[in-house]
Amino acid sequence: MGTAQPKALYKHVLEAPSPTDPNNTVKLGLRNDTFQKYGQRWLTTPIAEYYAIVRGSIMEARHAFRGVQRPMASGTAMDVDERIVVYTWRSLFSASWVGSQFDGRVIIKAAPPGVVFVVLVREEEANEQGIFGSLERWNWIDEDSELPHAPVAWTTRYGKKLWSRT
Amino acid sequence: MENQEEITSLVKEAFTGGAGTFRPCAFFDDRLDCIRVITKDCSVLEERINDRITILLDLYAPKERKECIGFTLKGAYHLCQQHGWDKSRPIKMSQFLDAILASVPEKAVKVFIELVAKPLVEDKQINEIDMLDGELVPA
Repeated sequence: MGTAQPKALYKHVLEAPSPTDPNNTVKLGLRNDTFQKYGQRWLTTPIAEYYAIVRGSIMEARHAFRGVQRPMASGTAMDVDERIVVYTWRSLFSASWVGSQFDGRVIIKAAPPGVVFVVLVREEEANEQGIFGSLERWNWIDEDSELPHAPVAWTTRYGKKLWSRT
Repeated sequence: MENQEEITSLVKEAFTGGAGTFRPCAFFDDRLDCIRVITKDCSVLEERINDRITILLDLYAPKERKECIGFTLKGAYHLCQQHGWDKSRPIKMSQFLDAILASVPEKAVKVFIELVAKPLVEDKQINEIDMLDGELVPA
């Protein structure tokens, strides 16, 4: 699945299709603090979805977009939305956690029809680990009626489509 | 994909900090500049109202009975900058909601804020957000 050894800032590093060419790959990192953000709040579902869907299937993404068309600031920069790359595909299954932390388990179940899985990546400045961007968020969105595997209203939701593949 | 047992082990590793359970929460996501209000730990279907607000729904709730389990207020840091709010102090959730409504006075936004967002945060006692560490400030 293209996983690599974790780097200091990152809990995991994995491979994903390049935003410029889906036939090439780039490295994406899952930051430690992103994982902790969920862990501290006992949000089990995003963690289960990360392992079951993001890590296992991002290489199969069918579309990539750039820009999320909304106000987004970071430090003194006010246009960070342009740094967001979005991968989307129709995942056939979802993942969640049932039970307590001690005796609970992950369950994989069929995804409802008409939805796509979406992963938001924030492009990083050039770094010595060669990480293109950080995995920031993943969730589900209704599927577009005309472009399979893409979210509804993708033309207004995102800045531009980088590529699509069948 | 790893099998379910392997994924179960990996998820358990993420919760090694002691006993706990999920509780409704709100936190500032500094990496994507938004506030997330989450009242249920489940797979999330996002429904975008506009460029400032997204509703979070339970992915497996019946379509005819959508269950709002939270929302995202986007551009939170951006909004603080615009209004000159002191980010070192907790900011009231109602202050954020009113500021968004003032900046985007659309009917759909007003309906969402008055009929969904405000009752939800009031019911879950999510009153303030600490913008520095994103932690929920208890009511």
